[in-house]
Amino acid sequence: MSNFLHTFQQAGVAIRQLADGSAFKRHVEVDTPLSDEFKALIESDVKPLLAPLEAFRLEKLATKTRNKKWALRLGWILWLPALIWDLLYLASGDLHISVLFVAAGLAIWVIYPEMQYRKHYKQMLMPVLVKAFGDFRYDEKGCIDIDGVQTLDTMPSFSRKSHEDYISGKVEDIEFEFCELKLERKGHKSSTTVFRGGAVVLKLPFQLSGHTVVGMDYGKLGNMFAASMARRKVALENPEFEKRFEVSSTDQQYARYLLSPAMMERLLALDTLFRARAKGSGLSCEFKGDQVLLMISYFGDLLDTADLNVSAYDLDKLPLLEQELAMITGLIKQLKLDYLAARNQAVDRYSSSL
Amino acid sequence: MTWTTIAMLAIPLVLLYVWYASIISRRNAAQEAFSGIDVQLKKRTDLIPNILKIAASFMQHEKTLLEDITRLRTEVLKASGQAAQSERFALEADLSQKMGSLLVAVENYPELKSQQNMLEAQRVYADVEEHISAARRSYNAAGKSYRDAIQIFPGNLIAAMLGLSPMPFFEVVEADRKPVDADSFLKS
Repeated sequence: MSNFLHTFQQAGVAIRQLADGSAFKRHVEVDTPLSDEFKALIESDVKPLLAPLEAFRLEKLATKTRNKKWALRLGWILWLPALIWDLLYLASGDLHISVLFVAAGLAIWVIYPEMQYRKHYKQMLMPVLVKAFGDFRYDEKGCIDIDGVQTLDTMPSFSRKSHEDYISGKVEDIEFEFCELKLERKGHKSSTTVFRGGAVVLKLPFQLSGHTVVGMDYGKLGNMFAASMARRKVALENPEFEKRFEVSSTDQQYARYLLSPAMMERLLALDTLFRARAKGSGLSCEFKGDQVLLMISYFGDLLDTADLNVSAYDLDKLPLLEQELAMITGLIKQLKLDYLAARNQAVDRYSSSL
Repeated sequence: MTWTTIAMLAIPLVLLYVWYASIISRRNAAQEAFSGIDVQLKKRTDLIPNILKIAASFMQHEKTLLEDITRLRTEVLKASGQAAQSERFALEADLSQKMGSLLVAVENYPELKSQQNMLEAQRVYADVEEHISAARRSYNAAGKSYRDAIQIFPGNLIAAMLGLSPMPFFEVVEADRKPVDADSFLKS
């Protein structure tokens, strides 16, 4: 039921973004200059990589231009028979769309070099760039430990997954994993996307009490249908937070300990940030055992600033990349979970010393 | 007597019973939440002697403050289970305020501030304070739910019959409500 409500809610946000035009913006404009630390990293580690990257870009640009030329000149040899074939079928009363498949095939052939360049750009630069933010590792095709969080309620059931941009690391004793994730579930006739966005798994150095879920608000009726039998609703004091989220927990008091007034403000700020930066459409998080799972839904594509038509030496997009990386790697600090961990570790040590 | 008459008599009785059960269940939830505060306050009361022990050797100039905290802690321990809730809340608030002052005063003693055991004690204290705050918010939420149940018709009639009264909310002390005088901080 909650999957259906989630899909319904996402459709609503998508329509709103189409209506206000934000869905058509590829990237958010960033006026903030690069930080000194990032500039130094570019000078020392990034610039030496730019020459081979630029050579690769020129090669792929030439391939794309050549493919486009041939697609325009000789594409008709493929699409014209397909069109005639479809029209003949249409005349006999059947609907065939082979011309669309031919067009799609030609389009992929043309843009494939661009996709290769984007992938190569990420593979070369990202492992270097993430190091500016601390002890982080980047893997273009990696994925969070889905098996470890599969049993959590916020993780929807799915039959197919695709993932990219895996970043992992450690911040103040908290293990961090992030990846962009798309989860689909097969239906009778077609597949439904049950999640698209960023998934973050945090492994805390202490045990959380109870089981607390901060889910999206689906309205009174929707929340009633999505409610869990095991957890009770936690009514919180922040009206804006209550408007955007629905909280339930097995431990009312501990849920309020986790969701202090300041934490509620931080989660609201995080939600707002992703809505503004990545066409975000809401977030949910779950606290259980020693894990925190954050599922941030968004329609945008983070960490994808490479442009085949722009020289690799042109570093105009790096401020955006820096901000997106800072946004992802700064999640623990943004939510001040490092303080929470430090306090709880001190409590554990104090208890064992008694 | 027809089935309709029986139903007309039974339905209001069932509804009244459901409302009564809901009031009692909410009162129990509020009492449970209140005992949650007690647990956390006990943790704080147990922690205070450790902090005072670490602080006393460095903070000779804060003797009055340390004595005030010791006295308030003893009063809180005496008051638990005996004094009226409002009186006990006031004592706890005083103790919390004095502890806040102590932790601010620690800033003036760099040697104490850098002590590892003081840092740990401060972290533990901050965590206990967070738990107390959460327990109070939990109690206030449960208290509000109970208050609504006994003040909304027909709950007010049932409450009057059973002699139920609302439980007090935890509120900040008057001193915390006053605007902060930034000038006095800057001058000192």
